[in-house]
Amino acid sequence: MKLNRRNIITVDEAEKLIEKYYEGETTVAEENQLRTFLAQSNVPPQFEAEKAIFGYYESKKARKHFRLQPYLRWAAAAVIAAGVIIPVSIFQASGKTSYAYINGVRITNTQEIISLAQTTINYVSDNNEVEDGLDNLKNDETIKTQLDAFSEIEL
Amino acid sequence: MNSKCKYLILVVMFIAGCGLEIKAQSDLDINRIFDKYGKQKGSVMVEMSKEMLEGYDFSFYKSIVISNNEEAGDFTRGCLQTDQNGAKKVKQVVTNGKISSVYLQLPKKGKYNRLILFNEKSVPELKMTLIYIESEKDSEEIMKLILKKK
Repeated sequence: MKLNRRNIITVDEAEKLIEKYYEGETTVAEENQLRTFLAQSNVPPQFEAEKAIFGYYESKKARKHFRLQPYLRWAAAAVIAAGVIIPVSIFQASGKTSYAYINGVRITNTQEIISLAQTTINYVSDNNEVEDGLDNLKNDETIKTQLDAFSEIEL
Repeated sequence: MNSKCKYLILVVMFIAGCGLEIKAQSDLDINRIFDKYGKQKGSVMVEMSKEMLEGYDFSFYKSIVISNNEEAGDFTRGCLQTDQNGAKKVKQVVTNGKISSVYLQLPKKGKYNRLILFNEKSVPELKMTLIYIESEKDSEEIMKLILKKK
């Protein structure tokens, strides 16, 4: 079939192709030509039915094209999840959660926070009971020492 | 987008949102002490994350010092009573019938060892100190690290 320079078929050619189409004898290339013809804005009214048929297939094709496959949907969900979790993790790891409150006033100065923590630790470790606690952790020497106190008692 | 996908995203966002607050100490009763007294007058509360604790090899540090508040001390003792369930009591000192000092080695949470240190002194003023520490090191090493920094 002869085509014009713009690859748009004439009305006569379109009618012949449509006949061929209904008989199921058109090739893929011919159907594409027909589709291009029917997609024009100034298609004669007698082609309305065919335009609807091809329009339907076009829209279905378009929908199919943009439809995400199930695995792609899960992949998209995973990407979104990563997009949420990773920044949260980075935020938490960035040290921005370090702070102090003195009499209800928030402190974010690093040196001041460290200094306060050090002071607090000193409150606990200043009494020598910490060392005693360590000794208790190590072994049962405390019990042994206490039992030794009774070893000299005569029964 | 189908309902499964929406559901998944909602769940992920919820978990991520909660993640901002979820820490290993969140299952402990002592959390209530930080919540209740942390921002009050007479209190000094400190929370430090891993980056600021490199010198100590701790992963997390939270402490509170409360001055001249007897009620806070009693409240803390009550919380410690709950948290010591399942914990190893490394040391406890009772003064005048009240716990004045206790070190609790809590059950491991993930890869972290957890330790609670509590101390209350009445001289020169009533001062209560509570420290919560998470570290990959064991309790003994944590204590050594604390002493090393004295």
